[in-house]
Amino acid sequence: MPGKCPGFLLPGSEFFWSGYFLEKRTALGKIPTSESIAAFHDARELGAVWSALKKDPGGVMRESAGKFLPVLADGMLDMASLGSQSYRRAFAETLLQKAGGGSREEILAALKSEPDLFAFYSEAHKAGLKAQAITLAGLVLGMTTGGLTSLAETSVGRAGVATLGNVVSLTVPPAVGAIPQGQDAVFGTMMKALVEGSFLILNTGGGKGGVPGRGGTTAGAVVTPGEQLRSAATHLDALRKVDPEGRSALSQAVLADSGITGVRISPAHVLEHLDKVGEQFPALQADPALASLRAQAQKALTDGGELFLPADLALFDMISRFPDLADQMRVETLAGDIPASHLGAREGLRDDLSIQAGIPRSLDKVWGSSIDDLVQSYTMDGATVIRQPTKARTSGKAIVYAVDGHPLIREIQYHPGGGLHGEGVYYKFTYKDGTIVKVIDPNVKFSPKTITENQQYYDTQGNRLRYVYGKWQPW
Amino acid sequence: MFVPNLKAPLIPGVSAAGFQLGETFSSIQEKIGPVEWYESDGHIFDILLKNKGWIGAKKTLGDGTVVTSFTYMNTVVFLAFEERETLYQIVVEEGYLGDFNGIRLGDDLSLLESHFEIEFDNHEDEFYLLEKGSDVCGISFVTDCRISLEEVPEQKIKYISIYNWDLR
Repeated sequence: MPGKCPGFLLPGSEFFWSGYFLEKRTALGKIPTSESIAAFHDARELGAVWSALKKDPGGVMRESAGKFLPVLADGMLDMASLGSQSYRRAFAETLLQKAGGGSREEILAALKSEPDLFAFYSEAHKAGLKAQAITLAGLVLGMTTGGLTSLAETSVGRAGVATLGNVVSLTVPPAVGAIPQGQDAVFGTMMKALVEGSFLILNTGGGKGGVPGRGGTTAGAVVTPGEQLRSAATHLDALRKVDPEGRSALSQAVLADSGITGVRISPAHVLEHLDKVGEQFPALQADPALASLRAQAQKALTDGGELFLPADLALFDMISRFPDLADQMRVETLAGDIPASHLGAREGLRDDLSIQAGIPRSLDKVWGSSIDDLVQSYTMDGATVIRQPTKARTSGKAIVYAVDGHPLIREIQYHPGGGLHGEGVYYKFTYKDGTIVKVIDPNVKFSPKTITENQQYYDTQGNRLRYVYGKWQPW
Repeated sequence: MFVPNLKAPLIPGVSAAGFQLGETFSSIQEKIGPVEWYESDGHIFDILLKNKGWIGAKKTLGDGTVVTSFTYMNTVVFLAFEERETLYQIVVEEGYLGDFNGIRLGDDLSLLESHFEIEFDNHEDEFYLLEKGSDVCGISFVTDCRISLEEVPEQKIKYISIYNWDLR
């Protein structure tokens, strides 16, 4: 069910975060045009496409690839910009026009008057139409960036934050913003970034889809936090044009563009959230930056004023110096079961995104996947996956892809069963070291006979098997 | 009960066990007589272990293809039909006595090397034969290891398939 949106994510909110949604297509200074707004409305038609998509996914996808995606791509990216920092005002104005009024309630009512978009996303999520539908849904979801986020009905995911020096990339699956724990986690991280002068990339579309360059699942790849940071680096030149002295700050450049110099925020609001952050994340509570913020907030509360956080708190400096940003990132998950600061958490975040998208990331998730799911999984790892031709003398049932550029896997295969062996469906993964892993249903006849030392069999739940006296048994 | 010819030679792309590829489902059904029919799932595995005659099975593969089959004993002879209801594959397993070029089930696969090149297909995990550089069509072998001869040189033949995919 739609959750309560944290105040600072709503259009018109007093909160103003220091980050900016980076997107190659979003040149600084670009102002949404009537065309881009129209494109947004065109994109709404996707909601109507959904019912057809359910009946004939392949056909509709082929049609929509030509008909809708170009519209979506442009409209989406512009709308993503609208939802971002520098275009907030334009976004609000647009919505105001649409709402015919100016109050927050009227704006929200206007947003809620877009049921098709949210129905589409919600249905795509429920049906789990995997890569293609999720790609579309992701594009639509990208339009929900910012204030629209809370209106999408989503699954609960994890928020993840990747930091490199003074750059923080925060990925917020939509529903994380809709649960108290998620709100506090996001708030704490944003506050910390703001107070520390970090540059914050806030990616609210990352939970299930998104716009290339801003995280989330796209047609061919998930953009990782590291890639987001690399993307940020590509904008340095543009930023320096905006801010020739280079003392700040993508955020400052953006803020300058919007005419906003900082944040005025209720100190009580800050303290309330800091308390919650402390309950959920003791490490954040003990953080000196947040301790300083707490002191400032308490002073402001005592003085009876607002807490002002100037935009130039955020310093953005030369991340392109780093040869490989991704490798130097420290990744933490803010909610979930992977310990904070664990290096594997980056993979955990990626895996989390994958699971939400129905993409298998471990052997226990393989069974039931389509070969397209598997392909998507390896593509996410940056590998090139190429379909291998069917050999004429064989049954032609095996679907095989060569995997190039993956550290472990050389080839993946889905066999629908039949033929002279086994009769059952199986998945086969050939590792670079020669190990062959097959995932089978041991309840269906599949006789491996001798299992050599480099062959491994797993059941549908990912448990390793052995074959003893004609029967499969746990390893 | 109809007993197949378990000594019949294995002729690639043509025949085995007294059945000819291309025979219709109905003619073979008439030959075999009434059988118990099963949906091929986990239960058929146990049924096959105890099977003393013929059983019929229908299985929908992962790609949606429906395979109808007759199986003699525990897959000593397996006859497969698809959409055209024409026998397109005969698989024989341990217990079958007929030979191909003097090679029988249970023999070492490498014995075929005296007449053929043996090629492992890692897509289907089967072995195929080449003679003077050309495919020997209509026959393939599955061994006890399902891995190339380079990796495991000695492998016993466990299944032999006589097929004509064009008849599916």
